[in-house]
Amino acid sequence: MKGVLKMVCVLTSICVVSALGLGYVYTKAKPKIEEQAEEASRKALEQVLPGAVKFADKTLPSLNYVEGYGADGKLVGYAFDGEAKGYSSTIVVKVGLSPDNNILAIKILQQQETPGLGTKAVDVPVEETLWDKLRGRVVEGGATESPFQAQFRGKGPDDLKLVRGEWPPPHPDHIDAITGATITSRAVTDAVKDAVELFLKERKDEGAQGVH
Amino acid sequence: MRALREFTKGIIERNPIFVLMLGLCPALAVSTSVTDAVGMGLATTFVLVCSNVSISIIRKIIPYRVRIPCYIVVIASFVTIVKLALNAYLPDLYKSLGIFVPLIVVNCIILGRAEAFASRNGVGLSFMDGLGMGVGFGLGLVLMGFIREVIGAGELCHLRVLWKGYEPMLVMTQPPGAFLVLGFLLGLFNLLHRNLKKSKD
Amino acid sequence: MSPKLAISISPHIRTRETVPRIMWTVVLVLLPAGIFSCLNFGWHVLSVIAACVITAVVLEALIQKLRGKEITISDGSAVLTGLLLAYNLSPALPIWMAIIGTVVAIAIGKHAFGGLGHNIWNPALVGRAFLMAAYPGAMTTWFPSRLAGAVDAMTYATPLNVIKQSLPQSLPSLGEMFFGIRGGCIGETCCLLLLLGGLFLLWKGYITWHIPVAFLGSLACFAVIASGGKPQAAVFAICAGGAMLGSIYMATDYVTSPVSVRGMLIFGIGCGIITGVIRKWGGYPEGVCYAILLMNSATPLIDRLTLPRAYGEAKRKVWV
Repeated sequence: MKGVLKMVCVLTSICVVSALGLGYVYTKAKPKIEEQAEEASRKALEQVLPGAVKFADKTLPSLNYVEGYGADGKLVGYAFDGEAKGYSSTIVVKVGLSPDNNILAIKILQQQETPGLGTKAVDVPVEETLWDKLRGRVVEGGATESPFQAQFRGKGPDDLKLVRGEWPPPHPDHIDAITGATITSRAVTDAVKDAVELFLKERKDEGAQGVH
Repeated sequence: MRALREFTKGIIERNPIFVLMLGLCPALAVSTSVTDAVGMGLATTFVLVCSNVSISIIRKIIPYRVRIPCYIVVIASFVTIVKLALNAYLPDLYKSLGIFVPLIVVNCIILGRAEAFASRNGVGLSFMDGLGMGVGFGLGLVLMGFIREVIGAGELCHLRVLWKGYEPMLVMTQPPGAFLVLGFLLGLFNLLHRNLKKSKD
Repeated sequence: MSPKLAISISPHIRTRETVPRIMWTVVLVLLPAGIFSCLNFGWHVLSVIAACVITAVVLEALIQKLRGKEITISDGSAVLTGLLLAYNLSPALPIWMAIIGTVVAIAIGKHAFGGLGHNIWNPALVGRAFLMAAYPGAMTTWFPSRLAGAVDAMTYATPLNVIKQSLPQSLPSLGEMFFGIRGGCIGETCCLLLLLGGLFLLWKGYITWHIPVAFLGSLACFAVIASGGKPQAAVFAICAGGAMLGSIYMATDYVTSPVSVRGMLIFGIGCGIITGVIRKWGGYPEGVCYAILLMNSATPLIDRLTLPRAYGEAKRKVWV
């Protein structure tokens, strides 16, 4: 009986001590974590709406979006998320759309695709070598986004679709697939296309209902 | 002197990955790049040292029959601390290590050292043992990460190291490449040990 | 090669069929398909084949020397491994990639397990699977068939690719596919030559009909059912990919396939169904390589299940 009591006491006190410790660490870390998450989402917004500095959250029946305004107060565009099932994960994409319905930029927020194949959709080609870095040489003009994502810039909503190995693509709105990662490429394209179509449709319905 | 030996044994002679064959799951999964390997090595070393020291301190009051739950509570607490700290201060590393940070809890090295060493030795020795094992684990990860990242991507710490136009051997950054590299390194370590034994005799 | 005094358990059968004789015969039988491929895809094919065969032989000799074993490159098994690997590669593959694949096939696929007779998987297919994972881009870049007259196309897809990705390209006719006038791996295209070679091996008794027939039969049945009962789907399934090459020359490898008749039938049916499943639902257009590798892994188990009982022996428990 005494043995059991000791076991309970010791285990309980260890748990209490560690719970107190974790509680303390959590209160310290929480504001920092929230700050990081906010900064990440703001950064993504700034990337898909280049030049926007002020953001306003808006809602549609089945879609939340953000309106971005430039420093001069002019509307830069709308940003919203789309998602589709990729090869090995759900891909979440943020889309920036200009007021005249052309894509400003996209950013893949979430993916767990095959390293080296599907991840080419997000991998920024590395120009800078380790030797440059060691010698302190700065390489100018490196890309800041993956070539695949860059393709979406300026595309219209009319015939957004994926083609494979046809260059130049038969329609200016077509997206060229990544070699060896057709499924990922298609998922990203579908996510963008579906999100844009949903957004345009719901805004139109909204406009139809609104008082002019 | 003994303390130094407890530290160095974890690096080659009883390397957790290549000799004790513990912690293979993170070794296979997180060694895709040197950056991730260093991050994972440091996180694991921190947990290992802290849990070894704490368990060594309370080893006399832990009843034998509930020792495992006690160890796990201690280990899980430190892992949660590491997780919160990474999330708050190194979000990029936290994102790329993903599920493997919380999984440090079930890393056999940590529970293994708690059971086999910290529960029987003093605080100082347990500290050195934890440090040595952690460094040995980290170095193993970095070695695998180095081979896999250079061959599999032509990069080191996400910077290009091989010539322009190098065709990366993609399999190396994928699970089969991890198994191949681990297999070759295990073979190498066995060879090393055999030769060491021969020269001792 | 053959020792003066052979000590083994009875029964002893005298035969002229030694390992070297069988291996070299298979190599010879495979050659026409390679020559056809040179005509079909151009002379780069020849350098890929040469690179694979030379690397295989040199590496085998080197490893056997390092391991202090007798050097047995004259038995033709290394040549055959190199040749079969080359036949499983894309005709457009860079030479150095072919060499890396051969190194993996011989060093990891064969000698890491202890050499000829001890390997679990078909070494040539290990090499191909490695290359598929290592350089998927280069392994799925194809040359168009010259005999079909489509030399100008920049990118070219095999019939299975066309189906898998529903590309807007026309498929070659079934007849063209049977004679090999289509894109594909180096040695897989000409079904006619592969079939003739297989019949010769069958006539010599070097292979039995069980594995190839079970393989192709189950694949054909699967294709017909999957297509909703179209009989031409069966011909397409057999001729469009590597099923002919795989079923006759690689699934029948002595070391990595079961020994009993029942075992061979199970093995062949397994290969056929897995191939069909990968083609229909998998991420890759072709599944012959993985199907054979998977069934290779199951071979020890199949052997255990199907080994005939000795007279009077009690029924064994298979699942221990």
